[in-house]
Order: sequence, then structure tokens, then C-alpha cells
Amino acid sequence: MFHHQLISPQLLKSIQLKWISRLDGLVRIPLFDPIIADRAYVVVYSERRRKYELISFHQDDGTILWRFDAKNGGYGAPAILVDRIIMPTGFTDVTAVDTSCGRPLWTFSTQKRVRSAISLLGNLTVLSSGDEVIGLDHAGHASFKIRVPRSFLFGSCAFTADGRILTLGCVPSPSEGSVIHLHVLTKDSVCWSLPLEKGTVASSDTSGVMVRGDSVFLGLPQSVVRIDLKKQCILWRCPVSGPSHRSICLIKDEYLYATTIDGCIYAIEAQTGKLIWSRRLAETGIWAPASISGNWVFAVAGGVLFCMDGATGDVLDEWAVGHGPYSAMTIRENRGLLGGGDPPYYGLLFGFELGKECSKGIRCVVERNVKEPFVNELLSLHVRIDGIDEADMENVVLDSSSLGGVQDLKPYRINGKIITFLVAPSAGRLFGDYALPIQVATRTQGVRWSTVKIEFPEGDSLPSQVLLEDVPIPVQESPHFSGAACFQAALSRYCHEVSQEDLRDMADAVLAHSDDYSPFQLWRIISRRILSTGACSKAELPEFDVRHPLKE
Amino acid sequence: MGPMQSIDGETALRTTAKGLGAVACYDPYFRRMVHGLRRCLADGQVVFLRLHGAAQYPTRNDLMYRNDLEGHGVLVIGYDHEARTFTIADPWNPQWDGKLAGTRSISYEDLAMQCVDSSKDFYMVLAPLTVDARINRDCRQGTSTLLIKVGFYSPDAIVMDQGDQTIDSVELELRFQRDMSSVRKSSMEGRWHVGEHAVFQIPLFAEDAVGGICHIKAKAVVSGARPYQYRDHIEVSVVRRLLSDSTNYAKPQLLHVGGLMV
Repeated sequence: MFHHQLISPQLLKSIQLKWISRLDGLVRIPLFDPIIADRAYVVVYSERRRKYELISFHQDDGTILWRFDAKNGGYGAPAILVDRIIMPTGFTDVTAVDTSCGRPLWTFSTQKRVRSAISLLGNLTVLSSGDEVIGLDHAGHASFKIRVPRSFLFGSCAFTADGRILTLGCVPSPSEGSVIHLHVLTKDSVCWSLPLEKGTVASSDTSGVMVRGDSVFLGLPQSVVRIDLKKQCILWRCPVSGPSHRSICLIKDEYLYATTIDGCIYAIEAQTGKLIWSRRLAETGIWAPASISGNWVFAVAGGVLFCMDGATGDVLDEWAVGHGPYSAMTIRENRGLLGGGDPPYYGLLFGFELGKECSKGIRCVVERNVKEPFVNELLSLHVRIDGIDEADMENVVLDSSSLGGVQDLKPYRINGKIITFLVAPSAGRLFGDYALPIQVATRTQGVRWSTVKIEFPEGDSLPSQVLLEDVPIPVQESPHFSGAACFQAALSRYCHEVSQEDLRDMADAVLAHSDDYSPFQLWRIISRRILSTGACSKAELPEFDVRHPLKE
Repeated sequence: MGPMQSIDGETALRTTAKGLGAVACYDPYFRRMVHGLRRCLADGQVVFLRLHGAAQYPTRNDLMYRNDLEGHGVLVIGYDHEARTFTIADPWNPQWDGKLAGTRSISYEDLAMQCVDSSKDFYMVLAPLTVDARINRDCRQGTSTLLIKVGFYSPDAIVMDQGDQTIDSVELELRFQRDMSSVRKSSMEGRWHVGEHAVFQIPLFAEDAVGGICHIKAKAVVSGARPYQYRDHIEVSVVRRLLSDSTNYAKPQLLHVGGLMV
């Protein structure tokens, strides 16, 4: 299970970037093969191709061994069970793939949404879907199903030593809207449920609960809690600054580490709930759990991998890695793997070397920050390269694809260790943090990798407050008309009146007319089609009107 | 009522449309997504996005699990950056169970959690085709030209399917306030993506002075490749007070300049 790969006992003194692999999508959490020593896997979501691509690669250099195109959809880290990797697919399904060659072995389909990482209970694959926890045998057949009525289950399932199953779920509440519960089950029935805090489901690859003996630890929207499984009560509650249930809490020795959506990491004494230290790493959120190797704790925030002292929170090192909201650094021995880059189109997979000894590798720093750019305006990026002798540098290239540029950008000017590149950010990339890989070919050490972080500030061009008062407030006429009600209001804003029923009817018809699109796309890609028409009903759409002049 | 647009800070005029040039954006980098949303709202465009249906929108049967698969659509109609909140218009019927009907504020962080698949989703700008009209004066020749740009709304964001969603032709009808019965027509064929514009140059008579009112109707054939290849008509009608400011074209993206039929 994924969280086992977030913790390593190895003590560290350094971290170096060993390689970077470019992948054209959103790079999710990489996993090491527990049996084959040099093998690892990662799921990359390609919006352009609407595929989840499962990639097997060599952990030492990122060389790709095979690729498997799975059906898009599903949130939860895969798990590796001996010779197969099992992953959520198609929003409602789970698929097993042969680790030796990428051949699909079986797919199990459910009718409801899967929001859980894959867990393993002996030889059983365990996941949740909608209101059910499901156990699958080696052939992908249901071994057990337990229903938790009216709950929306999420997060990886965990297990106690006596075989009970723990999962999180959101239950409707008349007074609070939606309340997060801990559900404790056997393979036959629900044992008990404990309401915890007002909150909503978390769809991430890495949410869930952490079990230690008779206790379970988990993050919630406003706190981190420890629950006594025998007494069925909360033992302690430590307040946190923002939602912490998107990412599983990790426990190493006596400390628990939790991350929050508002960009904080907390170290909490697991026994007592006492806050040891906390640190705000970035205002822009931490989207994944921490990782731990010995005395070091890792977390990605604001496009940077922060390497911290686990006891104090002091930052020991930083690497610009970009954004990978569905990734986290996984660790095995002296290797670390992490997804980042600039999603959705320019993903990067990083391979780090974790050192027991101090080591100074190559580092690249932008000499001065970049101003607020215009579309396609050429900017001079002055990069200083440290940790390498000038005479040893043979060639330097910058990967500017995150900014919409070329992959192997050559220097405009070289002045000693200061290399100037000309970059031209494209539309949509004029704001935010970017990690740009730099590849240095050396005469004596082969190819070395580093990254630079550049930041485009927001400037003051946007007003601090906006309210569009002329938008009609939509009201649904039926519980499954949410999108139709919104579109009716938006069209009505421009005096185009279409009924909610007709809009829903058009959306259903377009979905049925489409190949390989799921209900997930109804208020998404399907909707764009039904808005791109002056038609007021399904019968008036060209694809359903045989006499329409635009009918092809 | 169509949205009231301030023209030259003095006149509020209406835009009407049949269909929208909806632009879908997709950005798993949440900070940039927030920036993109704010930009759209600051431009007067309402934004559609989906929240997780789940337990917040309960029904008395398994319909809520079906809704959960589709997501719950809401409109984003405002923001307060200092308070770090968006204003949401939630269509959930107030007579049903649940507490989220009507207009409410949602923090950036809560939006990140509740937006479908947390940070990893799209939003759709519910904008009509955009029409910009300005008078370009040639002082040496003593002539004036009306420059009209028609295109999709162009967000400061990562646009989905940018290469596949196009305007393939535009038919323009203009009426000037001094003689509403007289219609000038122009048309153009091309292939304009989000961020590009069909640009019309219409010679102006001396009577169509700066400050005059012009009614512009643009009828476009649009096409897309998802969920399948389609072509369809949409229209937008705007009323514009004509401004003289050719400097607005200092950085034009003129990909196609059309012929004219006066």
C-alpha cells in the first residue's frame, strides 16, 4: 500500500537530483515494485488523450519499460500485489495489470464512484465505491461487499490486527450538511461508526487513516485526531489551520506528521496530541502527504520540495519540482521518486538520490526574479550554475516547455557560470511558480540534472473584489438538473431562454451519441457541446436533425 | 436581461446571444486556477464548475450516487481576494434536504477540497462570442474605418482542446443609430481558435461619428472535436458606442483580415 513507501528508516545527510523524465500529463504518485529491485510504476493522467497511462520505468534512470493505457478516471493510489499492479480506472472500476509486461488481467466494475487508494488484506484487494467496501480475490471476483448506507466512502481502507476494516465516509446531516465518519467494519457488517467533524469527501490518491495498535490517526477539516478503537472515542484532537483530510497522516517513532490544504505541515506527538512544531511552507497549499526518511521529512509546497529536520521543522534543503497535486515522494533505500512539473500537459518525474553522507551536487539559481510578463514576450533568464567547474561544462540546455517553449532551449549567452536563456511564456502561463529542468553535459561526470524556480507575480491588475449582480440565481427543478439550472441561468443572462428539462435532455442525448464518454463528462465536455448552439432542444441540434444545413 | 456593460464609462448597453462560445479551462495547479477564475470574473464572465455531489446534496434514494458521478454544477459569480473567498450561486433547490441552496461564500481552500477531484478539474467560462468595435482614423487620408474583432472569450488560463475548438465563419450585420433600417453586411471564413479573432475592417461614412451607437450582430459557425466532431451556429448581438482608439490595436493578433461588403 502506498503509505508504506512514504516512510524509510534510512538516516539522511543529503539529497541530489539524479534524473528527470518528461511525461505529457499529470504525474501521480510513483510506486516502487516491492519484489523487482530496479522497477517502479507511475500513473500519468493525460487530459488530451483522456487516458490513465500506467508506466513501468527503471528507478535508476527513468527509462520507460512499458506503458498501459487505462480508461480515464478513479482517484486512489494503486497497490502492487506480487505480480500485478491494481489501480482505479474509469471512475467506477478497478483494473489489475501484469507488472512484467503491462497486460491487463481483469477489470472489476462497480456502479458508484471509487475514491479510495487500493489496499491489500492478505491476497485480497480492498477498495471502496460509493457506499460499499469491496474485497476482490486474485481473479478479480468479489469476495465480500459491505454496505454502509447513505455514506460516501473515501480514502484508503486500513485494517486492524484482528481483521477489522476501517474507512472514512461522509454522511448527510440535517444540521451540518455533511459529516465525516470513521466506519469500522468486518467482512460481514458495519460494527460501529463515529461522527468526527463537519466536512466533505476528499478525492485524492493519498487520503486515508493510519492504524497503530488500538489507535487510528487521521486528519479532518479542522483538526488531527487520535481515536481509541476499543473505547470508540477520540483520545485527543489537535487543531490545524486548514483541511488535513486530503492526505494521510504519517507516524515515525513518536511523531505524527500532517499536511494541510492551506500550506502547513504539523509535527504532533502521537501519544498525547501535543504540537511539537508547525511550519507554513506556502500559502498555496500542500496537496499530498509528507514523506519521511530517518531524520528528514519531505513535503511539496509552492512548487518546491522542502527537506526538513523531522525534529525541529528546520528547512535543510529545497528543490524546485513544480506541481504534482496527486503525487508524493516515495522512498526506497537511497532512492526517492516524485511527480511534478506543470500539469496538465508538462509533467516531470524526478529521481532523487538520498545520501547518508554530505554531498554537494550541481545547483542552478536564477540570478534575479522575473518581472510580470506579457504573452510571448521574450524574457532574459540569467541562471547561475554552482557545484561544477566551468571548464567541465560541455553543454547546457533548459527545458522551457512548462512555459509553452521548447524542451531543449540552448543558451542565448554564456558568461562564465552565468547562463542566459531567452524564454517567452505563452498564454495561461503568465502567473505562478515554474520549475524548469536544466541538463548539464559535463566532460568528466556525464549528464547532470538540476532545476530552477521562476515566479511570475500576479501584479495588481485584478480588482480585490468582484460580484456579478446581473446573473440570475439558478434553482434546480429536479435533483439531477444542477448543470442544466446553471446553464439556463447563464443563457438567460443573454436573453436566450431554454428550459432545464431541454438542457438536460440535450446533455443526455449528446452523451448517448458519444463514444466512450462517461457520466463524469456530462457537466464537462458534453456541456460545452450543448452550449455551443443556438438550439433550444435536442431536436434542433444538427446531429439529431436530419434536415439541418450543418448536418454532416 | 442581458449583462449591462459599461461603455466608455458613461453608457450601459446590452449583449444578447443565442448559444455561448463556452471555453473550458483545466488547471490542476490550484493557485493558477484561482487566478484564472478571478480574471474571468473581473472580465464580467460567469464561470461554471462542479463540486462533489456526495453527502452535501442528499436525496432519499440512490439518485445521490448517480449525481455524485456527474458532479454538482454551480456558478461562480464573484470573489473577495482579501477574504480569500469565491461567491457561489448554488442551484440546489432550497425546498430539498441539504443546506447549500442559493448564494454563499466558499473559501479558496474549501473550493479546492470540494471542486470535483479537488485541485484537478476544469471550469467553463459561460461567455458569448466577444465583439470589440473601435474606430480607426487615418488623419492623412481623412478616412475612418470601423475595426470589429469577433472571437471566443480568451481567459488567462490553460484552455482545453485549444486546437480543436474553432470559429469557422462569421457573418456580420451592422446597423447605425442614425438609420436603423439600413443594414451593412460582411462575412468571413477562416479558422479562429481561442485567443484569435476574425477582424473586420468596415469603412465608415462621415456621419457615423465617434460617439455614435452601432448595433452589431455576429452569427458564427463553430466547431469542436469533443465529445465528437460537430458544427453549429451561435449568435451574439451587441450595442456599442463607437470609440476612436486605434492604440487598442497596438498588439493585434491579426490572423485573418476579412473582405467587406458595404
